[in-house]
Amino acid sequence: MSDVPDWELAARAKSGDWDAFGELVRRYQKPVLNFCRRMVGSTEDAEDIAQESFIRVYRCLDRLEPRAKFSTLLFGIARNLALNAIRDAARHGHGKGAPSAVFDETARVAENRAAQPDQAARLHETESLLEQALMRLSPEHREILLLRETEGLDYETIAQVIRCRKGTVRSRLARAREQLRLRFIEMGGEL
Amino acid sequence: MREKRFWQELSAYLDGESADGERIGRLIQKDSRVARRYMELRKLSSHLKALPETEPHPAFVTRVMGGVQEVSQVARGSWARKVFAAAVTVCAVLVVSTAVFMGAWNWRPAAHLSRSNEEVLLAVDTEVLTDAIAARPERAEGLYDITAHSYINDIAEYPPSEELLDVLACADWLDSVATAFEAQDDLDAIVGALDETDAKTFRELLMKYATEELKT
Repeated sequence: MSDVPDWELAARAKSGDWDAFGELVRRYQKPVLNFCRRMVGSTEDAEDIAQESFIRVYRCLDRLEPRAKFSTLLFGIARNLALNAIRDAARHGHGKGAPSAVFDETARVAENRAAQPDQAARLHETESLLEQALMRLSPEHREILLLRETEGLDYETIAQVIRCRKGTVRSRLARAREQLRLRFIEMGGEL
Repeated sequence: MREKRFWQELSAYLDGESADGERIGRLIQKDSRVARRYMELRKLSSHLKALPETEPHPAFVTRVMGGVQEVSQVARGSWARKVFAAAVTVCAVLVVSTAVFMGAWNWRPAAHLSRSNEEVLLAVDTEVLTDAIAARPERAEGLYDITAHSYINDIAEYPPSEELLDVLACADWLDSVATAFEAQDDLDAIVGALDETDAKTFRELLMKYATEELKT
């Protein structure tokens, strides 16, 4: 089933094929989860948001038309949920999206993969600074950077996900990069 | 403004989305400031791409599918509720329609009669009708003898009848009455609202209708 196109799986899921939807979840669980984690800064919250994103996609399967990529739709929903979570947290002054969020997973993965202690420490520091710098950006700047740099979406697709013009993607991405560069250097990062 | 646009162009160049790629490429070669910024953006980009990824929880798919099944059951429940509600509505409509139809068919006059209507109706010369009904007594039980029936029973309420509406529609001045009657307003109120001239015309129309009906 791994070579079946997304929309074919979605059509099968619509007609009651659980396995087809399960395959879609397996296919996108990691990118959606990582996108959400970097948006809200917490693995636990990100899992909830990612899970809800898939459930929402399932809910609207009947109304979906394969005009855009399936991933565009999925990231669009995940992005909306993540932004809502960040707004809620800001309103209540805690939790999701706070700059002080602990990147436990980043630290764990970085430590595990580094062969030499010095390199590991440097890598960990860069990653940690970058994650913190990312969290200090506005959610709009953060999401556009993540969609472009970590998910590798082109401008057209990003415009569809965040529902804006391609020209807006271009200018917002440039501003987001500049903000990230300044904050990263400010925090002691080297470029 | 021009500089801002230039950095936008440089950012787009990094993504392979610049419309002016050749010029940007030349500037990177010639201008050290542009080259330095470009290198910083490239590094930032590669750092972002290299950020460690979180592995989903092993039970993530199972949890999602559990949620999906729950949603599906709720949707099925909701669908069943909708079907049930629709069935109840259809039944109710059928019952009401049947009651209305049967009521119209076997309609019997109500006991009350306003004084004005009584005057209008009783003023109609019933002699012709009485003779006609005597000649065709079975018509008095039919749906279309309502007018005659009304005379006999001194009633002023009528069930909707297309024929009666046709008669009423013959007179322009009765258009509003016909419309109101179509809306199932109480004919009692309609007749009561007529002035003397209209009431006279109405009586004549009613008489004509009743006579024609009884003849057929």
